[in-house]
Amino acid sequence: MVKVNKMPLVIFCLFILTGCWDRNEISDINFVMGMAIDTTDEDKLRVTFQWALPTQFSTEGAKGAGSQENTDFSIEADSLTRAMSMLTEISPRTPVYSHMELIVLGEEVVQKEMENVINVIDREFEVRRTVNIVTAKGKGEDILRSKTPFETVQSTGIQKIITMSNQSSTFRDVNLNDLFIHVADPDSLAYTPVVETVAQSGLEPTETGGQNSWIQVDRVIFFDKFKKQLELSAEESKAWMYVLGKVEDRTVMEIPTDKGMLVTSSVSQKSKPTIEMNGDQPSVKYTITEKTSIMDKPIDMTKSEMEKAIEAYLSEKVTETIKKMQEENHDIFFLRKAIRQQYPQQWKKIRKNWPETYASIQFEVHTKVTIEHQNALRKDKIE
Amino acid sequence: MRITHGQMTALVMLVLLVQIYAYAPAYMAEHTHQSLWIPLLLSIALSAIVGWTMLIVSEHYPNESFVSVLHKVIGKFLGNIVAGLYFIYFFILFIIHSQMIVTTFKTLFLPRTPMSAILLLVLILALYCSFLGIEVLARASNMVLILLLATILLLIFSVIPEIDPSYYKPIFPQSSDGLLYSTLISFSNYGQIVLLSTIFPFVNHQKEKRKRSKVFGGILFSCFLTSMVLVVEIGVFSPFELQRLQYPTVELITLIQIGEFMERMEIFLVTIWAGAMLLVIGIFFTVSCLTMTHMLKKPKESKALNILLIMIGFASILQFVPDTTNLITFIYGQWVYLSLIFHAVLPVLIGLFFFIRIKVMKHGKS
Repeated sequence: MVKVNKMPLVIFCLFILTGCWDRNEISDINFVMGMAIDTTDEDKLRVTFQWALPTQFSTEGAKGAGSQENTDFSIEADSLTRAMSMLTEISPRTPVYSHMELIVLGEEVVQKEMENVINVIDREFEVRRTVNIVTAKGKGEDILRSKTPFETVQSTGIQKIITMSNQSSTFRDVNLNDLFIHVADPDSLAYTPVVETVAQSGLEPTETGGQNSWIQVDRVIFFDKFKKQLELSAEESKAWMYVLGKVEDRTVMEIPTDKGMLVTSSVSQKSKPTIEMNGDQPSVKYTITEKTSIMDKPIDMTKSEMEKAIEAYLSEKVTETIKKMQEENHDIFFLRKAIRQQYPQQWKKIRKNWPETYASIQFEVHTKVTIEHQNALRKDKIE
Repeated sequence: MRITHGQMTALVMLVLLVQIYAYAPAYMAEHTHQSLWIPLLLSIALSAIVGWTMLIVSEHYPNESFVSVLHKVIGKFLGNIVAGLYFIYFFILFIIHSQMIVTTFKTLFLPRTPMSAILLLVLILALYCSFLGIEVLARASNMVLILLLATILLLIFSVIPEIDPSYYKPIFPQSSDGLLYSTLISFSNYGQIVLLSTIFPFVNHQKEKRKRSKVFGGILFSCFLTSMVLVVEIGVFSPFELQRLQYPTVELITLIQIGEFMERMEIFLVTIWAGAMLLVIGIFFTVSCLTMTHMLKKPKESKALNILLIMIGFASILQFVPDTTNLITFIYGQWVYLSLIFHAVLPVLIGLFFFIRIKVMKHGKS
């Protein structure tokens, strides 16, 4: 009798438990891997979506992926939300953004529409906080439609350039989480790497008829509350990375000396900022340490001379960049945040006059370089 | 059938482990920024005092139900009023937890599924739990507790590399603004330790010695562990970003990336959390039913009463907290203050009455 009474309840539960409302068949899903956002002359957004063919997700598909094309599709709409919904008009499968690897913001978008675009992305739960974000030099669409070596999905290729292969230390990888954190902080600038297509002869492939441009990432662009502030050159970006202590391992430096060119490869690098307050006037000392190996050197240069030459070169480059940023009032070293964190009482007083305070800060740069080894596989160069 | 001290501890630990990191981090960060460790410590200390008081009172009357203990400590009339209040308290917690899991799943994973469908499932499970009784729930809680503890520890250790220590500076707050409200928020979670009093009568006192320190060790461990989640969230998101996030812990899970092979863990971790949450909902509903049964002096649990209460629960959720906004407004606008009655005022009252009664009894004997 008891079993009979329970039956309607069990059947009722089974009906609800099947959860058919939110079912998503894998064969009905379109995995959007990347998205590039640009503006048009009519002040609309042009959003380019990139998705990979499902066969490329399988091991077999990946092996033969060279012959297959990805799908890039551009949509013009008044807003990003509208463009995302219009994607469904041409896609026979439901677009899913949870596997997205890259968002490319076109150069004009970061000047006009960045806040609106980022706010839409922020509200879309499917877009994970780990998605990398970059700014394109020119049109984002061109970036997404170009090629990267080895990778058939361009978004994956750029994502790997940014996160894995970086040995030039001219940019830092930024994901949505990093961007949101910097944008949310009232005393911090946000930044992204800059991506552009290049057609240098040295980068051209040997086969004719193939692509004639490649992707390059070698700079950083800064924003203050979604407003573009400045774009660093590759050299300034590297100096910025030294100040932050974020130089990647195996970063190569070419250092001109009196005796010839010295080529180093970074083993590890750190930076320690020390902020002191004299009343309401801060002074900042950066102690930059680097362990490096020598890749090439002038014949008659001793280890001690090399270390001094590297230290002098680093000090000069970093000091130059700091001076320039002071003159242009760009707090790319996040000093406002650091002072607020270390000297909250003084910060309340100086925050109103920050540009004047920043311009008058005394900076000291101390560099300490240790050569770990000299890669001395050969005694001398071939004459 | 009776439960052990360990099972009782597991039940209370589970209750304390499921809620505080759901919505509270954003509200605490908004009021105390990076110094949210202070209200967390304060509320843990307050909860320990309250829990200790309730445990001592309960230990004095082993094998007596919570309602009987209240009758003996503060008299029948007042005892009934306090028992009635605690019934409302457990019922509200049952409603809060039910709607919390429903809105979380609806917002994050099942946007097209009707809320009432998920809610019905949750309530049917709660009803089933109440039919099984505290003893079965206590046994189940042991396994779920281990899973949940492992999940929270995995979460904490996985995101440690993402922490920026500078987000904790300045360590001490520059003013006491928001400190009280933040303490109330965390106390409204950790104060649920008063549940001890209703579960304690189920412990088999004849077979086991008192294990007060172990019970408290486990409970404090739960409090500190969940506090660590909040502290880690400050370090990962920064106080400014954290206060923007509606579901910070789910967002924290999305950051877990161990090598190339371990990511997109949220569905697994949230599912484990949901399992624990469902058990906690069952615990609160069962305790509500038990309190009501004891108040009505029924010799046995009445299934009809449980069904009636679940229907009232269903109607109350749809009427008063039908969505996330309403739920959050209720928790952070009213419940953080109302819960003080059950976490502080009534325990102090019970403790005082108990202290006076014991002193009087001792004095009488001497």
